[in-house]
Amino acid sequence: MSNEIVVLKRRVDRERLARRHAESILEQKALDLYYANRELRVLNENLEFKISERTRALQTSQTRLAALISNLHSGILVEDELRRVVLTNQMFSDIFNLEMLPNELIGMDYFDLADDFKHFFEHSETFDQRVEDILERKEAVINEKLPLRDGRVLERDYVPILLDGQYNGHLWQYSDVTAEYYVREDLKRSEEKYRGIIENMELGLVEVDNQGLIIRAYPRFCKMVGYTTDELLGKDALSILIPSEYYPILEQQTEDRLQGIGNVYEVEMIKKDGSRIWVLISGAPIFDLDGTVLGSIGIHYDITYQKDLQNELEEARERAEEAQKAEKQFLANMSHEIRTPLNAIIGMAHLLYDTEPTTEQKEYLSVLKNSAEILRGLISDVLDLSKIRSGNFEIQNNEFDLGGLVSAMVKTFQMCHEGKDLNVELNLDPELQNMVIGDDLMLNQILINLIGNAEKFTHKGNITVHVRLKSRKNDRINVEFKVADTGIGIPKEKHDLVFQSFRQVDGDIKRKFGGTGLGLAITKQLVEMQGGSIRLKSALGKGTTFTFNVFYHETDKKITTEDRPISENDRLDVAGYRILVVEDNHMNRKYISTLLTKWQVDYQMAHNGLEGVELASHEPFDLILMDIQMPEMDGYEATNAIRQMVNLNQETPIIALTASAMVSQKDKALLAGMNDYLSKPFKPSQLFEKLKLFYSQKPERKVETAANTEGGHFPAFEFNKRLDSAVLTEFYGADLSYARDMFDIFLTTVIPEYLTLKKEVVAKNTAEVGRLAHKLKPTFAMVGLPDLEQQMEEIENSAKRNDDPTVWCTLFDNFETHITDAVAVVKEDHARLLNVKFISK
Amino acid sequence: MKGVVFTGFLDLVENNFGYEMVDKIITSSDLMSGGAYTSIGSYPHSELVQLSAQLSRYTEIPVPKLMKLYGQHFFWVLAAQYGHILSNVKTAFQLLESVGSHIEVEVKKLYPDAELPQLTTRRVDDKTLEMIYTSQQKMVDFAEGLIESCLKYFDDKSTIEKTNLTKDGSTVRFIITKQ
Repeated sequence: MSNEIVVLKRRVDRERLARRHAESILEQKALDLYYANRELRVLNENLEFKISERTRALQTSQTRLAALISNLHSGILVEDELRRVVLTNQMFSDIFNLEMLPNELIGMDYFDLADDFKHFFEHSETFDQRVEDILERKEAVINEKLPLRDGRVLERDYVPILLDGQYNGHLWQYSDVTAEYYVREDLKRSEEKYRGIIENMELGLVEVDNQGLIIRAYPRFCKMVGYTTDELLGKDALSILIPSEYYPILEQQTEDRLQGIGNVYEVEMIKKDGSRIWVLISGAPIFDLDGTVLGSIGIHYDITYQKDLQNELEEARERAEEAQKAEKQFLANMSHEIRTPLNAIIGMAHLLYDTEPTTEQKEYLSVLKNSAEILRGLISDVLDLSKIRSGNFEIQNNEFDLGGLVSAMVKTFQMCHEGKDLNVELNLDPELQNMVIGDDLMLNQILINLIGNAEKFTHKGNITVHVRLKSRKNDRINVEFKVADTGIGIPKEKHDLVFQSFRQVDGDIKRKFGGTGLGLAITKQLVEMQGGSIRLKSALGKGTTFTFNVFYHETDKKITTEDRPISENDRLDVAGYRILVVEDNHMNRKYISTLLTKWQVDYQMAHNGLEGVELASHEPFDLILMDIQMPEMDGYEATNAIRQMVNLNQETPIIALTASAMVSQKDKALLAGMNDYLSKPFKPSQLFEKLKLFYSQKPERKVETAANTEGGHFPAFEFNKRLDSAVLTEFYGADLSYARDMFDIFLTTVIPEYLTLKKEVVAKNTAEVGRLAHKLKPTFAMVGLPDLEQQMEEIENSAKRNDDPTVWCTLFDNFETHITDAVAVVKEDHARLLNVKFISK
Repeated sequence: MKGVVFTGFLDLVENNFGYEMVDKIITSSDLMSGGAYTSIGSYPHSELVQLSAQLSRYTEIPVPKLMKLYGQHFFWVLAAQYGHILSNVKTAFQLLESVGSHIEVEVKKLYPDAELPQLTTRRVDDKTLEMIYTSQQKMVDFAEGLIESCLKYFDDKSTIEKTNLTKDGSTVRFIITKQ
């Protein structure tokens, strides 16, 4: 084979090989293409499915949106950027009475459509211009009010539609707000109406914002403060109108206002001319429709006149109170001035009965005693009434035995009527077994008044006192008291008069029965002060029953017989008791000393506070009776001294003898450390009750009875003839130890004082001579030297008359000639008295 | 390497030296493909290197010259086949500039497995174009031939200045300057 053929053969082989290679590549490519196509088809199908799904979702949301828009209560008009209608709803057509359906409007040119509805607007001529302005700005506009010619009011919103920041058209929304608009307008009008009314009522209105700046000032307010409206607007109300001292009040008000609280308060305001007025301000917050506080409104009422009046009244009240205080002081003084001599008159009258008077004298005595007692009753009643009225009568809370108190009272009355045709009986509820807490003195006085009253109008028959427990709640008990008599009775028509001050059933009664006509008025007040009430049941000739009730606290303490007060029949029980009497008034001293002697009570006398303190430091006493108003040292100071010093009587009970019944004096006495008080004038029984009270409280009784004349007697004793034995017997009777003590006092205390007087006479000190003479005067009678007492009185009178000193110097010289002898005689008899022995039975 | 490069090369050898020369360089080379090439296939670049080395041995023409000649010829092959690309281009500079960007992208679309050289161009001034060629196949002479034919096609009298930027010749700079 030639080379050419071989080459050609190889060439053909290569070409075939290349062709096969190309074919297999093509086959591979065809297969690739097939798979690629198949994949493409699947992708295509997926894509179609997704597209249909998206389309459906879009349709649904479009349907929803369309439903929403067509059901909106506003007319909607959406335009594209070329102002063609894209979307609208039925409400839009309805608002403007368009005949075309919403669908038919789509695609329409806005300008064509506007011609159909713009004539509805009240300001149709400016309508287009306004729309152009809005579109120019392309900024949202909301709640623009557009009144229509037919009276409706629309609210328009404009919203530009932007897609990816690109302007794409806009939306108009028209809402019919006619109803709300008119409601709001009505509200505004009615607010204005009421503001007008308030203005006409002389009430000044002003409105401030939350910063306190005035946003509205009404004419009446401006007139009130003297500014014009323009001068007030925008000003800070506080700094322009309110004095700085009221800032705290106003700041509190502002705080309240922000929390929505209204209030009424009074402040002063400064007018433009600088003068001040008083105003009553009713402040209230102003809210907007959402309830947010916008500020506050203040309604001002000028109360300057009322304030002035109030100040005048206050001044008048103060003056009246001062006058009342003066009156009270006057009463207290009167009380002292009248009671002191009266005490003596009554006391002396009592004592005179013991001097075996003749029948005629007894008759005079009884008139004297009765008159004095009526006078005392009158003074007591008048004082009590004035005390009650001035509120000075205090309710005490003492623990006491209610049954015992009533029993003792009834017993006292029984004794007075022993052997007469009048029976006094007690009917006591056995339930009342415990001690109670309340005012025992008041109950005492009420019962005295009522029983005394019954006694006065019942000559014959019975007086019955009923006491019963009416109710009990916990420890509080309501006790009912009845005082029933079988006396003359009171006619029905006069019942109302019974409890009135200074009234008696008739004038005849006053003549027949006496009395001040105050007793029952006081009784009623006393009952009512304690929370109770009093009533009356009576008929003419059928007797009278007074019923009253008082509330008490009941204690757990049972009453034993020991707690019962001892009656005057038990007088021996207080014998052997040792008492210190501190009293400057001679007559009172005598009155007390005589009573104490009668009751066989041992005592010591001090003539003033200083002496009282001195005596108290030497020997122990069971009780001290202390006068309040004394020279040298008064009762308060003396009590203070005794309580402060370590001495034998630091703990001894002290009873104040006050001449005044004023609560303040009693309080002062208790405050000074005294234990009780007795107001002068007092009856013997009152003093006796006090002695018993403190005696019963004493832990141990004295065994020794120094002057118990009942247990024996002194031998016969004759005083020196120089001494007036009649006077001495009157003072001391058979009690020689008493006389001995008095002689002792005279020698140890009176003589030094006499020497002091002598010094003052030499010094011609008129005032001191008068005072000392007054003090020394009564002591001479006590040692049987009434003639010297007489002389001393002359000296006193002369000094007090401010006579020429030579006058009383002469008198004193005369006195001196007698005194030395007299003192020697007293000394002699004192020595003899010391030797007298008591003879026991 | 695309089959069209091999078929074009063998067509050029056959036209200039006869099929005997084609047969001679194929049989004297050790070719995996056995020298049977189709334009739609792809073949190892080493086969082109062997074939061009054998041709140089038989013709006693150096390989760079052979590759440059082949580049000049291949431009016309491409121009015939992808004439639509040339119709949109007005100047040689435009075409050269579009090779690195536009044409390369189009080639990749048709032949995802094509290994293309990296070409970047820069206008130094109105008359000067700088082109940086980077390729592991080191077909720089072939590329120069293509550029020369391109200039000829647009009747452009520009000169080509070639500088090796790396020793192995894998990166070369061409400065094409208009007269």
